[in-house]
Amino acid sequence: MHKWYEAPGIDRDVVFASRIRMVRNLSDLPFPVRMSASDRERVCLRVEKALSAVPDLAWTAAFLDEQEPEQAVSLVERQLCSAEFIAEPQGRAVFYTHDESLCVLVNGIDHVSMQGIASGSALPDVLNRVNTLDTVLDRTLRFAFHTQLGYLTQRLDALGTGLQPSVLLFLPALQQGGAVEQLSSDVAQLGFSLRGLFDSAIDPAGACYELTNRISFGISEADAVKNLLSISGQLCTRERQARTAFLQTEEAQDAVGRALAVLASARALEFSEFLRLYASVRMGVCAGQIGGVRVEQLDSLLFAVEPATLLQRAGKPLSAAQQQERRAQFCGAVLSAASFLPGV
Amino acid sequence: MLCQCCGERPVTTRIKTIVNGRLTERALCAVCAQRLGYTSLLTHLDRGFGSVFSDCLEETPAGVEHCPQCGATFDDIIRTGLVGCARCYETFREQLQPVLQHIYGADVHCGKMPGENLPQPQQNMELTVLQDALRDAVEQSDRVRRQALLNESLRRLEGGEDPDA
Repeated sequence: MHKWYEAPGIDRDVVFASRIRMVRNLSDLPFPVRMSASDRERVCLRVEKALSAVPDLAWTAAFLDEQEPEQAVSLVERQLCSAEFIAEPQGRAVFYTHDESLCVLVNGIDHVSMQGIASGSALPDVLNRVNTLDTVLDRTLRFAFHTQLGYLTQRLDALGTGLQPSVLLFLPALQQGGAVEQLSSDVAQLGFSLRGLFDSAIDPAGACYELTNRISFGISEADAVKNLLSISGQLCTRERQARTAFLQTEEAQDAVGRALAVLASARALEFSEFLRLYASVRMGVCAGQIGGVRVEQLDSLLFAVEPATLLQRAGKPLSAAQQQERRAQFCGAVLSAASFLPGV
Repeated sequence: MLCQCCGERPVTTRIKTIVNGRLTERALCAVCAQRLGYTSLLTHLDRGFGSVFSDCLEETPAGVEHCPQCGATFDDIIRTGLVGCARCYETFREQLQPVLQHIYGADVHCGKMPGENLPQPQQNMELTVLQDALRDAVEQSDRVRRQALLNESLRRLEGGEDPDA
């Protein structure tokens, strides 16, 4: 079964992926902050039972209490849950489909957090899938709802629709020009957040960012998505303009060519170095300056070489040097047919 | 402790993140947190939970009322920023309503209702709200009219006049 990131997507030069998160709670149990261990177990069992009755979908379960550290970190690397979610594993679980495009987190900030993700710009489709899952689960689980307040959540900043739509954006040219931090402050004033996807809290790497609409109350799901698309459309336009100007310089073309050469032929690669080179090569592929490799192949490579996922898929312990060698081998295999087409 | 990002200002936010395959905690100051996109709806509006609730606290004897389902007090919700259970919303509705108005500038949900898929007609919600408002207005106006009649009758009775004369 292919993973969601292996599929091509609309506007993938800038929009890496579209994500919908929808949180819900059960009405007859305390919210997670006041739950006992047996309450958590009860929620987990009820959600597992409800999911098993969803037609046409098969789920893989990962109970965090039973996961090795790298297994849990790999869930974050594969965009199935957040670092915050695995930080307190007691009674928490992740259920996900084989293509990892749908997942359900249990006992996080809220009892149930449904997530849908798809390649490229596809928010309405993803909202549709998550919404259908919500409707089916609600028939069994009876989510807490109040006519005037909407879906009731543990935190007031998710109350109402319980919806958090987001887009994962690739913004190398805006990052290069130092514009992202200002944009991050600007969009915050509108109720959005823009934050890095990798080592996001100090130095966002790989030029990957997540733009999220955080307004969930007093606005419909469709309007929340529409507003997000409006802001992300403006960011896409600015990124494309900045990228066109940037890639015309001799210096930038040289950087793209060098990045491809190192990524394709290195014998060992640290993940931080991979992310830096990946951003340059991806920009070159999207601009047509690098041929012989598709952007979705490059993104699949990113998921394959993330540290914990690399270890987990190896199925055996690897030393730091072995991990770097294995990462370089993966890169060499994917980029074997890639070629640099300067001046395009 | 100083911010791990700028090394200058005191820490206000702790963020969990993955660095090179390991779960790591980063300690940030308010300025770096904002610059890196780590602000919640409450912080960017410059109203932390404490300040949002402070007005309500002055008017409400905190810690007196307990939620009958989970035992939480309004004080617990302020302290943690977390609501205890679905019933808390009913129990502390009067205290929470102005807070929602502060955060969102709205006080009525207008999205999906349980039972069916999106898109759902929004008119029902608006209609319900309008019907409620109309009913309140009619009741209010009834009360005013009845009070006026009563006052008039009392005045006439006190003055010895026949109200129906």
